[in-house]
Amino acid sequence: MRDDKMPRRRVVITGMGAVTPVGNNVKETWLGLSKGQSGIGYITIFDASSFPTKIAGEIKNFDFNKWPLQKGNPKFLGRNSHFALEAVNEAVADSGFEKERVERDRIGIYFAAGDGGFDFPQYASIVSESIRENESSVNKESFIQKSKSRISALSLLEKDPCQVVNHLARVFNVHGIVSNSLTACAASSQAIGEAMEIIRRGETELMITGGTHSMIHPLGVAGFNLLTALSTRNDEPQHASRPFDKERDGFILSEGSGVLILEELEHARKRGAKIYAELVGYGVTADAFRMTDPHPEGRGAIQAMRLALKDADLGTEKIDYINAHGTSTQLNDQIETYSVKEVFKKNSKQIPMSSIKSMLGHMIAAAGAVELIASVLTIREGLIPPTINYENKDEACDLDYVPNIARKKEVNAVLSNSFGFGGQNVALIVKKF
Amino acid sequence: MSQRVVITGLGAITALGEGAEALWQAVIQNRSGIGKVKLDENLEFPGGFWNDFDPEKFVTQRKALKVMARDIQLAVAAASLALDDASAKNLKEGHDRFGVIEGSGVLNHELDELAYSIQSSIGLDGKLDLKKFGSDGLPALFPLWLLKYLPNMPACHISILFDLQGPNNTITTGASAGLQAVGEAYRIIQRGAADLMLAGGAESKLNPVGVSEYQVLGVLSDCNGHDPRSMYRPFDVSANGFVIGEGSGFVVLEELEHAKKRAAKIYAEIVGFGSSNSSGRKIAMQAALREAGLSSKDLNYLQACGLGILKEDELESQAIQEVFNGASQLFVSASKPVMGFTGFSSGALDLIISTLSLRNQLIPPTMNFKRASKELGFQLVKRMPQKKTFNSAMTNAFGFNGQCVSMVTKIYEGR
Repeated sequence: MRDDKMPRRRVVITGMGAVTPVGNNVKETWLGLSKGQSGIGYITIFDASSFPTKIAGEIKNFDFNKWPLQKGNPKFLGRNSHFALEAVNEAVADSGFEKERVERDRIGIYFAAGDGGFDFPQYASIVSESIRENESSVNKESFIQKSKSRISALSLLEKDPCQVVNHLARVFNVHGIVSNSLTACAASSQAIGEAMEIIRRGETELMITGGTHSMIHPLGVAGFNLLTALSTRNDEPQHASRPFDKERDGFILSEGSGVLILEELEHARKRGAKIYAELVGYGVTADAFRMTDPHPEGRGAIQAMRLALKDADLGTEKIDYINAHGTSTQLNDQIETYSVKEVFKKNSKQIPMSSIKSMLGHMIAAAGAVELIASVLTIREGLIPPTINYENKDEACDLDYVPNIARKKEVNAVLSNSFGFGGQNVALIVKKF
Repeated sequence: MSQRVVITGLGAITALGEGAEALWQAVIQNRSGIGKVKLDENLEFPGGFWNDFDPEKFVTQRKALKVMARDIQLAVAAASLALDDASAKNLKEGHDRFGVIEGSGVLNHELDELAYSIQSSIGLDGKLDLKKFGSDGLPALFPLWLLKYLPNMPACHISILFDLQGPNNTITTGASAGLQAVGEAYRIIQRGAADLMLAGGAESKLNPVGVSEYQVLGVLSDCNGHDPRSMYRPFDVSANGFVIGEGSGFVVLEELEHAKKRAAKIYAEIVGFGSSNSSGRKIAMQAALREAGLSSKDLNYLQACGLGILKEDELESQAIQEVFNGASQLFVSASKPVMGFTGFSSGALDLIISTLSLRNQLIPPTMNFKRASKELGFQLVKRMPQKKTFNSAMTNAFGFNGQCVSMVTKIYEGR
């Protein structure tokens, strides 16, 4: 156990950046969230017109020429790399740390970059041209030869999740710890928690952390459709993501990036940095139950929240707002509600809990980081973003979800939940500084 | 104060077979497991592959096996072996403080599984028609298809099979992922967030997708006409790329008191870990040494990454030279020629080798190494293992394209 008498290095948030379906920076994203704006629409990245789900939260009006044209960058970048470079650039500028001299091996990156997706039509063409006549098996020799002549090395490198952190380390000149976590929907929250621990134990003063992901490609949508995890409310894209509503029918896949600059408190103070909030609690567990379904009694989720509260040394009465994982799937929303009630007991009905996935959709590996940014801004602005599309009460979901309209409230401490496919549970707590 | 962390179990599946000992014996005997792997009816490819791997021995539920890519099956098997080795499978108490971290990445699809679906998606012009894929191809895949290949599924399955309810993470930093996973598990126990962690990695790229991708990247040794066992040559002047290996390596890490209380066998203590970006070889090694409280004159043995790519090896040897500055007590070896380059698992497997080396006080040779292109500036062990008295070891996992990590382990001295 940690020796509680030892003073621990404190970690604050000094910069933020975001590229989301409602805005290509933090300001626009927050404006959208506070107005209850949906970023969901029809899929345009590929022809999804015959897929069970034809809607997603795409990034709009993004300049895909900006980063490949910068010196040192490859000419081809995956969507996840584009979004990460843009969001990190915003966060680094926002924090202003580049104006100071910080030793480069005292800066680290702990990211949650998803895989870069790949050219499915090309891959499928190669497979189809290699299928043996009169049977459903692939001639491997033919597949290998065709792949070799048509696939570029750059596109292969971009497929690899570690390529994003390579770009970030190069462009932002980072020499300290570099890692990348990919625990599905919990990934960026986990990255942020581990980044905080790195500063706490004194390995770096500054961490660039967050996540980036796009699974809006044919195999991504197909894969989630096969699992029946996605909403098929195709005729009403903006009303499809409806966490905690009785008529919810699955999540909406979306894309983007969220980035936070974490900094050791004294380091931030010395350089007179703007301090958004303090990161005080991190809990991580596994359900160890099933591949897709959460534990029916929320065992792992409950324990993650309790660990985060203990880490933050806060009682449940000190939490003013919960930023929910709230995916809009039947099971998640029900079990998250149950778990919050188990942890917060009699206080649970007084604590507002909203899901911004109602507006953004599910950014998978990037979701937790954007949700933490929203939590920080909730504290700063005294405004809780709503759960939009909330219309029908579900008996199993009976908390205060801040339905449809943002709410003014003084908020000092926020708990943010992220639960991953595969049973990873992460809870983070931010506090007013 | 941070907790002390010891290694109490080793598990490996490699071309040499089942278990860490099988790998170790081959390493000290210069016996390569590389051979020809059958990729198709009339297609063989050089690689390190264990033909007799039987996933059913480790996963008894047929249904579960069906949704595990081969990488996942290998991960589960090595994790199981590591827990057996640590006698930690039947621990009744404390599962909320047991966790797992796996080094992973993009897992390759089985092509035949996609064949029917893609065949049904071809339009009249012979090209893929996404409309047909959506209506006909997609429903032809099995419902849990996506889960078979998600990078975090190995850690998920391991947590379920062995009831590990504590921290669970998946590290995706390319070739360094396996050792980075061990380093992060070490940190988690150090800070008191868990008592026992399984950590390691698994990779299977001896498949058409893996072979074609490595060929596009131009990193494979051209074995044409030669015995593939002799073609993987880290640090040698004639190094011309690696040979693909398939493998999985896991270690059990434990908080020292937890291990002592149950009288666990202790292989070694982890005392230093460093991590940096993809060119931070020196920084990673120096950080690990600094944390271990060792100067460059104190270390006797370094298990190098030794990828067998000329440029990568040059960068590593240059970094070793700069960090250790011609230290005469240092012996370096690289063991990848024995099993092939095993990607996400390679760093964890090298750690298993260095741990057994520490325990046996025997520094393994670097197979196939004859002479370097220029002065290496350190002693690379060749031909025969070296019997030495030493108490600390460093293990490197670098590039290619992944991040750089370095770990220092020490013989555990009961205190």
